[in-house]
Amino acid sequence: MNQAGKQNSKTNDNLLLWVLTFIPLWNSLVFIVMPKTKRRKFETLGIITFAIQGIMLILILRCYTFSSVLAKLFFVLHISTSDQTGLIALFAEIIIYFMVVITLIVKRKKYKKVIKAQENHKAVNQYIAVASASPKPIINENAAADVIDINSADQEAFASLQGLTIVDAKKAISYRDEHNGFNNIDEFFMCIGAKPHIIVSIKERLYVGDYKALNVVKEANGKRKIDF
Amino acid sequence: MVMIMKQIQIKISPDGQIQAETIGIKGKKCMKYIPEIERLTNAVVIDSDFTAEYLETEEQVIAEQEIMA
Repeated sequence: MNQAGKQNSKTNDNLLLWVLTFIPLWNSLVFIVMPKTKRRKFETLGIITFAIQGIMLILILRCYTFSSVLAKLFFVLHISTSDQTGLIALFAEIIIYFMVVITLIVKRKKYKKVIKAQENHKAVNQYIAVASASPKPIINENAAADVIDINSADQEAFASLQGLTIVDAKKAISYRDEHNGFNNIDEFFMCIGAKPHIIVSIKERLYVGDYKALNVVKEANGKRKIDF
Repeated sequence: MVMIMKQIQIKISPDGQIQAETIGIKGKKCMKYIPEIERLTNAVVIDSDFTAEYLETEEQVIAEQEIMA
């Protein structure tokens, strides 16, 4: 190749290097400025752009192996005096190239977390939409429809209520006997310490009747039989 | 007088557990939302508890009328 040909080739290379420098700058701006939700679409484009950039860089240096690329770079460094603008463009290109690649890798990891959270949120929204569309309420249904008088019911009747145990039944009867009956249903719930969802599920099955003291079993010596 | 907005806060955790709480609904009225929450979340309540608002009464806003002497 003659001297004029060599000079033209170098000028073209410098021009190309300057053009290529702006591509990673543009990509960086795109990723920084763009909202996180839209970055995904541009990620693939960014990766392709960088791949093309890398290939063009190698072609400019006219080398095809990593060791020869390094040798070429050192050679360029050594004879940099006459070709400073091209050298600056080359270094700027390489530094920015690697900076953006690293940023892309880090941001991709962070972005994956955002996407996962969004997918979870979407799944939850879909679940709620399906549940809301269902007209039939899913609530606890009592097995028996019998209504119970809280002032005359026995242990078994109380224990048959959903959510109540035999301990609650005994507590209720003990309280009822001490206070000569319940004045209202709220008093009954308060004495057994019923939880809100239990109250809601059994309230309709209870009513307040007249208080009738249950017969107390007495032994021959007059002592009351205590049933634990 | 500041009016607190009545809300039902439902939290769904990744393992599917649902926590719901009424906010700004005083007294016994809060309990009538239990079936609604069950319907909305397509779930059954397995545990519940009263908050301090259960024992509070709702503030009644009485319109003030200026009496002309």
